[in-house]
Amino acid sequence: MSTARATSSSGAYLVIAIVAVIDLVLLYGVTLMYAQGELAFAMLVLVLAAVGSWVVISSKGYNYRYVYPSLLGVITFIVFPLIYTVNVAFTNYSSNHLLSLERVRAIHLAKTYRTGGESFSFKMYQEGPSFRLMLTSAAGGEAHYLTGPFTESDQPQELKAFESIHVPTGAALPIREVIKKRSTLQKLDIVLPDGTELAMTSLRKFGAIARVYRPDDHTDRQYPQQNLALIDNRTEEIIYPDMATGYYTNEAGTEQIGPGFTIYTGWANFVRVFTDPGIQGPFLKIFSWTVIFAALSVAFTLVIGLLMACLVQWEPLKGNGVYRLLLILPYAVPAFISILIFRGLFNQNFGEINLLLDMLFGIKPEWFSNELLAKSMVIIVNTWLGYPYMMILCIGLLKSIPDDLYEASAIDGASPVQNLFYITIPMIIKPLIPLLIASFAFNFNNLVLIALLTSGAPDMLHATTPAGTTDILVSYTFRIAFGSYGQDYGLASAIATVIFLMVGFIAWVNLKATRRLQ
Amino acid sequence: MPGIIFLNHKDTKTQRKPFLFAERSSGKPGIIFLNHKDTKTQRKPFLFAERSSGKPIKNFVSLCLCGSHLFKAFRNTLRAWARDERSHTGEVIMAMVQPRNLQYRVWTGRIVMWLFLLLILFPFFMIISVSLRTGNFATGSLIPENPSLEHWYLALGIPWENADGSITQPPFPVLTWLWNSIKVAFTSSALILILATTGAYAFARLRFRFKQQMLTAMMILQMFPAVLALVAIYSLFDQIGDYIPWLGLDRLGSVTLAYLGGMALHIWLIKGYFETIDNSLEEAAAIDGATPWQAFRFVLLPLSVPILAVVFILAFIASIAEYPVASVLLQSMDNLTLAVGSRQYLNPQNYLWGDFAAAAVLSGLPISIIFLACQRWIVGGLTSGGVKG
Repeated sequence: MSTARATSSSGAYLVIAIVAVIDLVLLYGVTLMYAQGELAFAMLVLVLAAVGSWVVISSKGYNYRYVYPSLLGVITFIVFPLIYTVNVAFTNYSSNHLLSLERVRAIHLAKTYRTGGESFSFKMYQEGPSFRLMLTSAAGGEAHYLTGPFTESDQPQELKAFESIHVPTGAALPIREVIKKRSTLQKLDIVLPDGTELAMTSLRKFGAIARVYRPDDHTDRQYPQQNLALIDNRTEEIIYPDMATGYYTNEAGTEQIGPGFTIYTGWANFVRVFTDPGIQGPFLKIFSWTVIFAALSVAFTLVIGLLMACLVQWEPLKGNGVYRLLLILPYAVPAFISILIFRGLFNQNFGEINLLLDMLFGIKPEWFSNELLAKSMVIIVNTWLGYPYMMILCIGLLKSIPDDLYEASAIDGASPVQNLFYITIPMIIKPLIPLLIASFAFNFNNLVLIALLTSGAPDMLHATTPAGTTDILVSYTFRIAFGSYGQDYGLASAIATVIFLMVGFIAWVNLKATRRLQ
Repeated sequence: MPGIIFLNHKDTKTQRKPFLFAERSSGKPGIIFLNHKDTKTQRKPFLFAERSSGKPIKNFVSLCLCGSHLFKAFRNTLRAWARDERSHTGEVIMAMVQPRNLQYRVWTGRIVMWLFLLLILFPFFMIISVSLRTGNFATGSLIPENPSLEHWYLALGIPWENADGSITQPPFPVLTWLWNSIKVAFTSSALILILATTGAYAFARLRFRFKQQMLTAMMILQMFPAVLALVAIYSLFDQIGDYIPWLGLDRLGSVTLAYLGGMALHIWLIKGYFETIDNSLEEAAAIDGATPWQAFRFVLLPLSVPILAVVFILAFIASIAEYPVASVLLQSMDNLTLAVGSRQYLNPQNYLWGDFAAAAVLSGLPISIIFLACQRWIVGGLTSGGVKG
């Protein structure tokens, strides 16, 4: 198809003008991002904007116009997150190392401590929407301090206080009301005329405070990151950011002062995965379970799906349409609902499955606390969820087998079992293999099942990270990253990177299998 | 005269019974029954003797008895004969394999099917039954003894007045969750459809460099689920949220956008369909002066409505059922999607089995009905190379 276009020249100018405006906005954004230190973002947007402009303006890029939006989507939502994850794998990004070095320094500089000087009891007065504090020295005396008005807020506020003998108009709030406002009060920083700073020390008192750290102005000292070093006002000790641990430490390196900051740690996370006994043990166990789980899921769903497909395609059975509809039902219900239904049905005490088993055989299996039972439950549920998909695929493939093969085998007097093994399976296995590999990859990463059914339970012992015996690699990663015990994004990303390699390998095998088919 | 010869021989080598054969003595071609016995002679029917011309088929019996390695030759002979007959009489010969014990087999098949269906549908019967029981810990038979609509009221967000006069408030905003899910799924599927359609058009019809490489890359990328990049997705939207609040954490906008990653698979699906449509119409349009865009918009798109519907429904269902990304990005109770929210019901600390049952039926039903109504098309789409989503 030629690239002849019936675009009038005014239309072309309009397009160029629109592109220019969009590019300007994006460039402004890129500059902002660069200034904020978001280098990765800035680069991504810059490249995408440049390519986009070229595609729209150049006539050579005409054919790319149709692909560009979808490529943009794929790059932004699949490729970029993958690269970003690999990048995080080389850092110590975690709940203890969440912020950048600059932010951590700012937090240290804002830290205060009680100097142990004078303390003041206070009363809170309301004047319309704003409040004032009256601070009375505990040492006694006529004069007291009044602060300027302030409003309720969850941001830190600095208030000037002045000496006065007057009492503010308005009513003093009772202590119950004061307690309700304590989140505002705790963020107040009151500066007395002599420069002393006060902060709330108890529900009834304000006390003198001072900054813990001040920036180190000396430039002649010999330690790393010297321009970012801080001096402790109490001890005159110097602390500096240790780029090996991601914490500020003192000069001896004996004390780490939180919060930590994010640094690149090289291969440390990967080394941990493969050598730390508390991670390596669970990791290898989980890896082998993941492979077993995915393989068994594919095998069971395939066997049941194929048998049911043969049965449902068998004409003498009658009512095949209805059977097919009912058999597909588990696939039609959203997986998260069915999985949760099974979670309830398998419940040890209230679950209907155990009630039934108790009634019939007098047993109440511990589906969620016995490792073997939990694993079998996971596979049973996954087979239930997955066989309709296999059945659908098999029905499609069965239809493509020429009838005369069965005709011929009948002439030869073959039994149904022989038909299955000598005609049906050999005929469908080739187109089925790529689909089976894809299904393996899907189950390899079937987080929804594990997260909703068992959440990995029962837990493994002797693991330094939360790990369960039914956890598969992705759910293990998910728990490390978003679990309730300290989130270690770096380690999770490292494991995710290892999974990338595995999935990439599976995808490559799949590609080979598909190619061979064509 | 054509006719049936009944033989009760076994093959001397394979010990197999001779097989089927056809033709009625009337001279018309007919149905071939296998394993039936002749009512008169009690012999199994077997091979065919002669053509309607009266001329015997050469070596027919020996071919049949030789077993499967000569089978092809035999089949071709049979076919040729059938063709001849058809041309003579205009009737079709059907070879029907009717095992003697067909009735037993059919009944075995049915019983297996019914037992399997009972096993498979058990959870559905159970959940409907549970949703009608009184209280959250009630146990009992499949048909509740004293059914109550308590859980259904709560699932629909209506407070329920207990027998003792106390009022139970709905534990969770199920309808809000359902609405959130629908909003997210609808927007993301619409965006996926637009992007995937234009992309697929280019891949199917236009020529450009790196096309094959891009297609291969998409094939591989669709195997990497978003689950693997959750840390990145979380962190990215956390940072984007600082600049664009409605794309930040705990906003439905971010979830919608994150779901666009599921596009690669759909590009393949639509491309496959486009390739089955003959492009002579578009060429004709191009000769009449249509731009590629016009050919795409006014010729190809109207022809592809079925696949577009399938892709939309597939994407819709996939987004509704998506759990990991939504569970990481959404936090506050009113912003949850159904998939994330439903989990709250079965917390060990707050186990609301009955309430969950009603909510599950209520929210699962519309999606299941949509799926079943469109299953014919969805099945077609899946078979053409999809992955379970």
